[in-house]
Amino acid sequence: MRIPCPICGERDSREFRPKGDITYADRPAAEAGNAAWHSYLHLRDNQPGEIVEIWRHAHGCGAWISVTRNTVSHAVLGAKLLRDRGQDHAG
Amino acid sequence: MTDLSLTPPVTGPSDISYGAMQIRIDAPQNITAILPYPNCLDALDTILKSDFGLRFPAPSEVVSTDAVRLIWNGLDHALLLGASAPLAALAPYALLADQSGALARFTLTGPDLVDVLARLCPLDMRPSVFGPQRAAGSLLGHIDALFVTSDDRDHIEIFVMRSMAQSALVELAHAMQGVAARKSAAL
Repeated sequence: MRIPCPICGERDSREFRPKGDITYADRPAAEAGNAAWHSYLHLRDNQPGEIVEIWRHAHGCGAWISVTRNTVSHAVLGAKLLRDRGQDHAG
Repeated sequence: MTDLSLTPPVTGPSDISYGAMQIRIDAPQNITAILPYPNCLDALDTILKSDFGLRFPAPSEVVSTDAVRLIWNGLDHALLLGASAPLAALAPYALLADQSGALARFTLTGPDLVDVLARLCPLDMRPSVFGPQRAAGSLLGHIDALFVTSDDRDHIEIFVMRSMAQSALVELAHAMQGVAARKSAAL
């Protein structure tokens, strides 16, 4: 599997580490309540097909990125710098 | 008084050869990590220009003068090599961290460079892809490493954390041995 790092270009997946679903990028406020935090931490749809995940180019440039890929075809469809989403991020 | 002078990262011979390939363990050098603070790149560039005649490197770039080198080492992260001048002027604009004793530096030389690194590293090291004055972080076996080229592509510099220096040498020596054996068997 090859992942297109927005900084380094296309690199081998061995250089990357997955963090999890993109939900982790949208952390609820501390006082948001149990339901919001339960959803953030545990509830995922897990539908087959296109998903967006958080990965880190851990052995390369160190950037946190969001990777869009298809869990059915295994195609990697793109990647963006997570900090360009303009929100507070988990991790 | 405590002696804080730099010592070599590994003991033993300062170079290892197999076939046409050689790995040299380079002497420690002044290395400072420079991580610009948000929105400080222009101010940082001005000082780098006036003090060293350099600018902050773009991703995968190496910029150098005869005396010092600035090597890109990741997102918003560069290594300044060879600068003995005080760096206090940079401090308002970037996080500075002395890495002189934290990194080990090797130089791999020889015609089978690409074959040796292909056994250890997922990067395409062919000169047509990984050209001169380039820097890229990747893996050397299981070890995080920074690969740096100069103008001449007959050698490549490899930076690893000092704690991994001995393991990196073992990995490199093993790969060099394997490539040398294949070359001699093919004759």
